[in-house]
Amino acid sequence: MSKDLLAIGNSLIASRLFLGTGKIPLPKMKQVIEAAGTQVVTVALRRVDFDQPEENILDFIPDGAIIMPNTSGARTAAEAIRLAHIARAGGCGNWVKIEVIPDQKYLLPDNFETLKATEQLVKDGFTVLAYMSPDLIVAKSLEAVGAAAVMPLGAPIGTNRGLKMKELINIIIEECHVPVIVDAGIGRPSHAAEAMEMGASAVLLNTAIATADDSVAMALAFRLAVESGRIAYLAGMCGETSYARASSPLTGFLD
Amino acid sequence: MICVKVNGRQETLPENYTIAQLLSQKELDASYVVVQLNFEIIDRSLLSETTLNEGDQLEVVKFLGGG
Repeated sequence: MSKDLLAIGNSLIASRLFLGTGKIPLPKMKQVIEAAGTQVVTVALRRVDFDQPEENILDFIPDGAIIMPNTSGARTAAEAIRLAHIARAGGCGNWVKIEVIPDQKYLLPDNFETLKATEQLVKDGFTVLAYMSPDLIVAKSLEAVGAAAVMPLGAPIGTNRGLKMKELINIIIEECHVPVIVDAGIGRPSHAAEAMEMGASAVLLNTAIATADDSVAMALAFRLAVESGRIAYLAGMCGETSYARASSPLTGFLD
Repeated sequence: MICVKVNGRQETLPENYTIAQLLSQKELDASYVVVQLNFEIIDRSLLSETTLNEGDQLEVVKFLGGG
């Protein structure tokens, strides 16, 4: 098979499994990232706690990985823009995952504020990947203002419930030209494979790997699922039919 | 002495104290943090020449795990 690379911004990426680093213990980080085969990892920004000195997460992320800071904590476009600029000053490149979340119960993103923040940050030279509720019109608008990828949620963050928004994500995949990365809600390798079979460009995972009993083994399981789903998508999957179609010849020497 | 708010906490610091001096007093590696002084991002190359003034608000942030 020729190299199947994903182009985002100025980068060509071989691994279609993006990994969130939340809740992964630092000593395990490198192993998990390597087992997942991940090239894109997300990180968050927080105030330094002077009373609890801790090690630096960047020391635990393999060289060469693309670091994608998120804007978690932002409730408005203005806050997301501010966080993105602070993150870029941190010296990890110009990728940013925009998430604007005013709702604490379901952690659903505010698509309108996300669009505003994306438009501004693209002008400011960022490679913007936008976390969104799956809505075609918003996805097309994000594309129009220069988002490098759209990231519809499969189900609310951390719920592990799979592709509850499947029909809407399908439409976005069909209609958008920018990569569609399913972010949030994927709890099992089979969910990730399903997203890739549908034609998603990549998936972004965190909780399902980070909170597994054996997160290194789970990272590998997801890696295989993502690769498997992607290969199946490229191979062209068969349609479904209502009635049986024999796969063995029925020619009758028994007649 | 001057009073400065550092990550939401009042601190008393000597006059002409630089941000770089404050970071090293907190045992922080400047290359791992981003500093905002009164909501302005301060470029790392300027940390050792930026002095703090009475009433300044300083935010020191870093990356950590997130999805």
